[in-house]
Amino acid sequence: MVSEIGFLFLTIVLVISSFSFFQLLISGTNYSTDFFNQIKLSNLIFVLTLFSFICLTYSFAISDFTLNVIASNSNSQLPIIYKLTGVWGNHEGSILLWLLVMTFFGFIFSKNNLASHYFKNDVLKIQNSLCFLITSFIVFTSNPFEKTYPPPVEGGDLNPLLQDPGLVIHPPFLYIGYVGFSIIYSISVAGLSNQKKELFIDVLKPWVFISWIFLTCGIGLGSWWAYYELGWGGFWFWDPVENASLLPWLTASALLHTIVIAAKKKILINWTIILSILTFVLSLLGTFLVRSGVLVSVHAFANDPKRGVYILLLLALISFFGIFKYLKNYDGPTNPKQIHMISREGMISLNNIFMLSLTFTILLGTIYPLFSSVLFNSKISVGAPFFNSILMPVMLPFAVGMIIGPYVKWGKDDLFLIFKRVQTLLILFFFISLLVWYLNYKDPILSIIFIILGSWIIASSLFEIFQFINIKKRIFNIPKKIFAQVLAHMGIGLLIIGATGSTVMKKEKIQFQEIGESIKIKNYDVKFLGIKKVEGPNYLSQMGIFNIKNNNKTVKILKPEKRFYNSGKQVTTEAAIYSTLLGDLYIAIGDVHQNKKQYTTRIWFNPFTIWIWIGVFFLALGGLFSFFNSLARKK
Amino acid sequence: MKYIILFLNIFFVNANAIEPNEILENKKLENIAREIGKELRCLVCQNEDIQNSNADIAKDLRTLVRKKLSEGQSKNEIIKYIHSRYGDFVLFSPPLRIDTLGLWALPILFFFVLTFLFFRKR
Amino acid sequence: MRYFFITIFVFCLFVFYQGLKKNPRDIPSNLISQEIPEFYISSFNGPNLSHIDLKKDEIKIVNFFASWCPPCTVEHKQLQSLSKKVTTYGIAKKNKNKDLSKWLGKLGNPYKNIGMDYEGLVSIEWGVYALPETFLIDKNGIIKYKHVGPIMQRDLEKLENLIRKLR
Repeated sequence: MVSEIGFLFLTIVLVISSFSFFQLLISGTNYSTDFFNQIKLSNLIFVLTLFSFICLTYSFAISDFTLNVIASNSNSQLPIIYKLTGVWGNHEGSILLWLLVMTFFGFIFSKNNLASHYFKNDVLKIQNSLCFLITSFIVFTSNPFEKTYPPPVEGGDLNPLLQDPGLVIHPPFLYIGYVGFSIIYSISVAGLSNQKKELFIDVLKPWVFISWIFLTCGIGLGSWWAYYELGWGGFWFWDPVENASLLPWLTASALLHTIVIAAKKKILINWTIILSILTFVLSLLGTFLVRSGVLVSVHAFANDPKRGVYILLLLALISFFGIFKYLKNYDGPTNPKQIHMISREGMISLNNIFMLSLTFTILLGTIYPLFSSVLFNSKISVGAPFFNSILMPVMLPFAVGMIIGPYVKWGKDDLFLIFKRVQTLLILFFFISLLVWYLNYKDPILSIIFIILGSWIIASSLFEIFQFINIKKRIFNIPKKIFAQVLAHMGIGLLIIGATGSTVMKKEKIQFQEIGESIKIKNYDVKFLGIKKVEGPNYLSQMGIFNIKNNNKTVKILKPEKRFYNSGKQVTTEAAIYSTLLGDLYIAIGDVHQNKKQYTTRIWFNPFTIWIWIGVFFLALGGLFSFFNSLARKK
Repeated sequence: MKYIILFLNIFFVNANAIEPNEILENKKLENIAREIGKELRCLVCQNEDIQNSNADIAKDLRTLVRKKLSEGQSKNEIIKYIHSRYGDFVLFSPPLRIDTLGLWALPILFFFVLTFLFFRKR
Repeated sequence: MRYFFITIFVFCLFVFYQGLKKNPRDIPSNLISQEIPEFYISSFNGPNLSHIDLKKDEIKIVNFFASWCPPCTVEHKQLQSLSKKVTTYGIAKKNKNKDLSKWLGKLGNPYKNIGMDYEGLVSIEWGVYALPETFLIDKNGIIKYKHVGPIMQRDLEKLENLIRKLR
């Protein structure tokens, strides 16, 4: 009953949003000839989508196995939390979540008071049309309320890897992030036909920041989950789906910087529009790559070429509409002057160039095997070695940009003057380099370089604050935007140090460890105390008990597990981690060796890992400051 | 269901799969083996290298690499051999050929086009 | 300038569309149209098996399998049917003689000769990455086709057609 109602709500959403879609086709983004009030429509489709989603969630909660998705992806033995989050642990449910987020953003936008009633109507007409397209995709190809005959007595199961708190929040954050980019698409395209192009920038800003913040957290959460769940301390694999989420993040980061110039100097407005459209198109492209079965990936949902064709059509439609609107309303560059490279605008432009080039290269690497297969009938792989080799060199210009950029003036600046401004900082850099080298001279030269780079970025940001306090003589009134930039760049610096330490400076001890035996790693003693069998809600666990000593004092007991799930023959490795600021002690337990007294144990020390997560937090915090700054009304 | 089957391959992947008795005594050789391992794809997995996969083929290749290293073969010789048996797909960094040239050339081209667009005289 | 970008974009969409028709998990063999690799291994219960045996002028198939591999059991019936139409050699990967003997006793032996690849090195030499894999070899010892995975009924027809074409 509930599922039927859920589907009914969905079909009503389809009908109502079609009004916007046809309105858009007939009268374009021109308010005056509109028949419907788009604001009212957007409120309506949000509420109805919400109800539909609630119906689906309820069905999951009661384990209604008459629904195909629940029969395939859920299980009555699951703890209730995983029954609920199983809603988005499959293709159909997650696309419904997509729609929910999209309608939600439309709903919130309608409450926005930075925009005029007319402009809101134009934006929401586009947003509602997007919702129509996605709803049609759900109803015709990916219906979560589809029934299965006969309904099984017990469901398949939620993949044990997904039965984890990290994976409870990772998808929603991610979706709010890159589905949130739908509204910046709508605002930009609506803004194109708007007479006074500059005004829409102020409307656009908060949405860019809020979506970017969620996407940053979403990606960070995904990496963090991978780190502790996958059992060997890796956190980024250049998997196609990871790349798919990174691409819109990169263009949104470029957009973030561009919008700052556009709002202040009224230039690069065309770039703002292009980046807004591009970011959402990349979100859609990512969806296509992941759900169509065209690429092989650890995250890939069930392959279905029919869905693939449909998403491709939507992608084409939405991209072309954006491009068409842009070209139709393009009336030359908004700034008649050339941008000087030695200027704040120049630095930010350079940053954009590098970011977009990086985006292009990652995209290229991800889809190259597909292109090669279609065009040359060859079968190649493009994996981590390629992506790492292009990422590392490009980190250098980014670092330089972050370090020097804030000290470069707007308009036109002079290299010599810049040098004079940062003299003290450069001396500080020299001493930092010496310190870092002294502390880590045993480690590979590559890691030392990147740690120094990260430290310089952090030092530069702190110096900026210090200079500001020094010159303006006030501490508590530091403008939000400076604070935002400082926090965000510090975040990147921390991230670089954390990522470098955790990967390049990793220490490893893999052995057959006997019960009672102690293994020394870094300055810790890891003593294997024994094995305990533990029964979980839907699994049986083989738990290893390890005593961690530092300087002969016990600091922690770690309990890595090997879990055997009841529903299938699935096994997961749950690593145990002891985190400190200097690094993580990471233990995974393997199989028993022949004589039953020895087990394969894998012990790692990953330096500075926690700084990665702290860095992401700083990034998000910086974004938050920018977000609140952008909400303030400007005269 | 298909989703689960596709995902099952993950279980070949969820731990650094090297067993203690695979690790070579000679640290230098073991490091080279690890380097090679990062370049080779586990052919039955979804985008994992042979270091981190529990699959049979991954283990076989790891063993082969270490065996050949112990016999004195070089990193390039070993990768060349495995490439000749399994084709381009086993390499995570595609070999440089006419059809893979684009992978390296296009980004550079893109970079210069963008620089021109941003900084040109209007 | 902008029409250039649009053309590129349309081209990309076209390639994506074509890509949907392909199966990304298909890995073609790198040894197609090459001579069979050299090898010498002991046999299960006959004369030793080597590449020389496989170069004799008749069409043959080489089936890599193992008794501990479930899909190999699944394809066994099709393999037996196939072995009546074409000479079938087997190479057992990492199989103990007594396990193999039990397995063949239960299901039957379609193989003219079975090579024992105890170390798995011959399998690697042939680019085998999963079991079972079946190679079709022509009169001159050239590998013409490889089938990965169990040979099901529908695959049987395709193989028989290929064999017919080679004759």
